[in-house]
Amino acid sequence: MSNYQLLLPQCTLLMGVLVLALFEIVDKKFHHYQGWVVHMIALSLAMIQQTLLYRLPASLYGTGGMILDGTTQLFSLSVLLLSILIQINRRAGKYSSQSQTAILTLGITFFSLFAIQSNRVLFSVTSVLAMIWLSHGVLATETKRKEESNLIYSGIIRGVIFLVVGTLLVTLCMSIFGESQMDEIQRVIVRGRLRQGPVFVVEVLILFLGALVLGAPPFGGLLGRARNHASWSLSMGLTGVFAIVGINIFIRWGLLVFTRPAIGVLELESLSGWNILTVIRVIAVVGLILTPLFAILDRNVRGSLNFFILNPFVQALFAASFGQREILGGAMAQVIVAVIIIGLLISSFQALDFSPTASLSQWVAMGRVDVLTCLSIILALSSAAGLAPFYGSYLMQKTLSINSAFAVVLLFNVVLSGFYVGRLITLAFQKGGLHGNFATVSRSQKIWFTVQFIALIFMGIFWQPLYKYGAYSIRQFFGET
Amino acid sequence: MKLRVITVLLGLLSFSGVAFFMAPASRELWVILAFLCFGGILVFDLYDQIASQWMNPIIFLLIYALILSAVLEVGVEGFWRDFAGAVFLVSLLFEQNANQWTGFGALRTTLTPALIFLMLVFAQSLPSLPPEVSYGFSLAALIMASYLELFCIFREGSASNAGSFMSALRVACVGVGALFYCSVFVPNLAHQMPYNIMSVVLPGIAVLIALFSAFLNHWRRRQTLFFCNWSLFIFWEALSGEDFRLYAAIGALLGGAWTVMMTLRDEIDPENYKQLYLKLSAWGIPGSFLFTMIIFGISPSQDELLRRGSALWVLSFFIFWAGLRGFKIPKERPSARPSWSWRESLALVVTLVGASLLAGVRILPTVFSDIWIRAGGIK
Repeated sequence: MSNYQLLLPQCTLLMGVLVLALFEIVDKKFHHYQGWVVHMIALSLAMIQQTLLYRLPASLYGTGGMILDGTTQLFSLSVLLLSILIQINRRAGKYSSQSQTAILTLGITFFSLFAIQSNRVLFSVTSVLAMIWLSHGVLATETKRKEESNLIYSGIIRGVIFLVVGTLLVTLCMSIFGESQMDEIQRVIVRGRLRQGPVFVVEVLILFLGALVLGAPPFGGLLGRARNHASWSLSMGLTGVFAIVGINIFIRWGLLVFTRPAIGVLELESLSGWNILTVIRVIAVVGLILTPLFAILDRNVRGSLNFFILNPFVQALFAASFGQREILGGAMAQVIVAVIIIGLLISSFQALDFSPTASLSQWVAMGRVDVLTCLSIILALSSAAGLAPFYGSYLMQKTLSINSAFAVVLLFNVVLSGFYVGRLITLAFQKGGLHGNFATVSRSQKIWFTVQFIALIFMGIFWQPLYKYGAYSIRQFFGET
Repeated sequence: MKLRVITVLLGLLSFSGVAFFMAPASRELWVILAFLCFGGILVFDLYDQIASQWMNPIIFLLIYALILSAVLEVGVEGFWRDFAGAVFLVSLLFEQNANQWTGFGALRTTLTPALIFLMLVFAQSLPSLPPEVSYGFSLAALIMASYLELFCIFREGSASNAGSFMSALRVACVGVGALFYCSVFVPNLAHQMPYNIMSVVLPGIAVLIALFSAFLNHWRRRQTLFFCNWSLFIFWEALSGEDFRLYAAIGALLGGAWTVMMTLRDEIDPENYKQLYLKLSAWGIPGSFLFTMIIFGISPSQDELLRRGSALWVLSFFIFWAGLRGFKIPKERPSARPSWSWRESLALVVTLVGASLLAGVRILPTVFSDIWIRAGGIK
C-alpha cells in the first residue's frame, strides 16, 4: 500500500471525466443516457473505493500532500453521496442531455475531494478555486442563453477574489511557518516561538475563507444569483457540496490545526493567543440567527431554501465550536444527515417540476395537490430545522447541555427555524392556491421519497450508529487509533 | 384501503413484538399499554380515517414507533426527544387532515404548541437552570401537549377535529408520555413543594377551559376541549403519586383514546337508542366507561390538595355535562342512514363493560393493583 492509493477515487472520477469528454468529442454517436450511466458508474465506484479506504493504516496518513483520517473520510463520503443523489435526480431532468454539464459536475466532485483531502493549503485553495469556476460554468449552462456570459463573468470575479485571499493565506503560511502543510503548521505553532500577530492574520483568513465557502449568511455570496434559474439538483446540490467543503475548512484548517486535545483528552484547547474556538462560535452564532431569518424574509421558494439548507451545517459548526469530544462527534454526523436532507429536497422539488422562480403563493395548498411529496419536503425541512424526532434534535440537546450563555442563540435558531417550517406546513394545507402546472409524481418516485424520509426519521430515533461514526471520525485526532 | 389497513396492522404488531422482546422487564407493561392504546384507535376507527390515504398509516406507525421508543429510553433526555417527535408528528397530522382554511396565524395552528413543547424540552437541557425550573418546564410541556387542539379551535372547520384519529392519537401520546414520565422519572414529585400545588392548578386550568367551552356554540368544538381536559385529567392522576389513582389513570388513558374514536360523527337515528348511547358516552356521562374512570380518578384521598383538586374536576365535568342541555335529538330519521357495523357493536360493548367495572371494583377493590403488580409493573 502506498500513499497513491489515497487517490483511487479521484482517478476513477478523472476517468469518468475523460470518458464523458470522449462522448462530447464524438457527439451524437452516444445517447445522453449513456453519459448519465458513465457518470453514475464513476461516482458509485469512487464511493465504494472511498469507503474501502478506511482500511488504510494510520501510518500513511499525514506523510504526504494528501491526508485521509476519519474526518476527511466522512467529508469525502458526504460529498460523493451528495453527488450521487444529485446525479440520480438528473436522470429525467431536461438538462441531462448536456454532456458539458455532466463533465463540469463530475469535475466539481473531483476537485471537492482534493479540497477536502489535501494536506496543503495551497492545493486546497487551488481546488476550491476550480470548484468555483466549474460551478459557475455548470450553473450558466442551465440558464437563459443571454444570461450565460454575465454569470460566467460573475463567477470569474468571485473566483479571483477567492484566489487573492487564498494566495495571501498561502504566502503568509509559507513565510510564517515555512510550509503550507497543515500538520507542519500545527507543529510550528506548538513550539510557541512565533509572534502572535501573523498567526492571528492567518487564522482570520482561514475563518474568512471557511465562511465564504460554507456560504452561511452574511457570507453567502460565492455562488450568488447563478443558482436562481438552474435546475433544483444543481442549485441545491452545489450549495450542499460547497457547504461540506466549507465546514471541512473550519474543522480541518481551523480547529484541528490551531487547537489540540487538552489533558484528559476530552476537549480541545487553543494553541494560539487568539482562541479560535470562540471566534468560530461567534461566526456560527451569526449564522444561527441569519440563516433562518433570511429564509423567512425571502419570498422566493428557491431563494429561501438555498439559505435554509445551510441550517444543519451552521448548527453543526456551532456544536463543533465548543471543541468537546462528544459534541464534535455529533456535529460530524450531522453533515451526513444534511446530505440526505438536501437529496430528499432535490428529488421532491425536481419530481414536482416546481418552478425555480416560484414564490410562496405557489406553495399554498401544495399538500392538497400531492400530499406525499409535500410531506417529504416538509419533513426534510423539519429535519434541517433540528426538530424532534430528527437527528438535529439530538445534537441540539447535547449542545445545549454545555454550560454556555451562547445556548440561548441556539434556542432562538429553533424558534426562527420552527416558524419557517410551521409557515410552510400551514400554507401547504390551506384553502386556495394557484395550483400551477406541477408534474405528476410516479409511484416509484413516491416510494423513493418515503424511503428517504423514513430513513431521516430513523436516523433520529436510532442515532447511536450515526453518532458512533461521527465519533469514530474524530477519534484519531484525540490520539486513539 | 384493505392493503393500508393490513400494512398498519402488521406494522403495529411487528413494532410491538420487537419492542416487547427488547424491553427490560420493568418496561414490558408500558409496551403493552401503548399497544392497547394504538391498537384500540385502529380497531375503533369507525370512519376508516387512518386508511384514507397512505401518509396516515405511515405517520401513525411512526408516532407509535416514537412512543415505544420513548417508553424504552433509559435517560430522561431521550424520552423527551422521542415524545416531542411524536407530538410534532401528531400536530402535522392535524394540519394534513384538517379542513382547509385561510390565512396564516401562528396562534391558529397545532404546530405552535408542538414547537413550544419542543422549546420546553430543549430548555430542560440547559445545565445552568436549577432542577426546580427544569421540572417546571417538563410540567408546562405536558400541559401544552394536552391542549394542542386549543390553538386551532377558532379556525374555520376545526369542529371536524372532534372524534378524529388525530385527536385520539394526541390523547394516547400525551397519556402514555405523562403516565410514564410521572411514574418512572418523577414518582414523588407531587409530594414536594412547590409541585404539590399542581394538584389544584391542573384542575383549575380544566375548570377555566370548561367555562370557555360553555361559550362555544358548536358541540364538536366543546368535545375537542373535553378531551383536552381528559388528557390533563390523566396527567393529574399520574402526578398525584398515589397507586390507586395511577391505575385509574391507566384506565382513563385507554378509555379516553378509544372513546374519541367511538364517537359517532354522523347525525343519529332517533329510533336507534344504541347510537344515542354511544354518542353521549363520549362525554363521560353516568353509565359510560369514562364515567367509571372519573369516579376512580377522584376517589377519596388523605391529601387536602388532592381532595380540592377532585372537587374542581367534578365541577369541570359538570360544566361540560350542563352544556349537553342543548343537545338536540333529531325528530326525523336522517336521509342517509348511519351504518352500524361490528365496530360500533364492539364500541358499545366496551363502553358497557367499562361502566360495569365500577361495580366490579366495589366487589374486588384491588383488582387494578393486582393485575399491575402480577404483570410486573413498576410498583
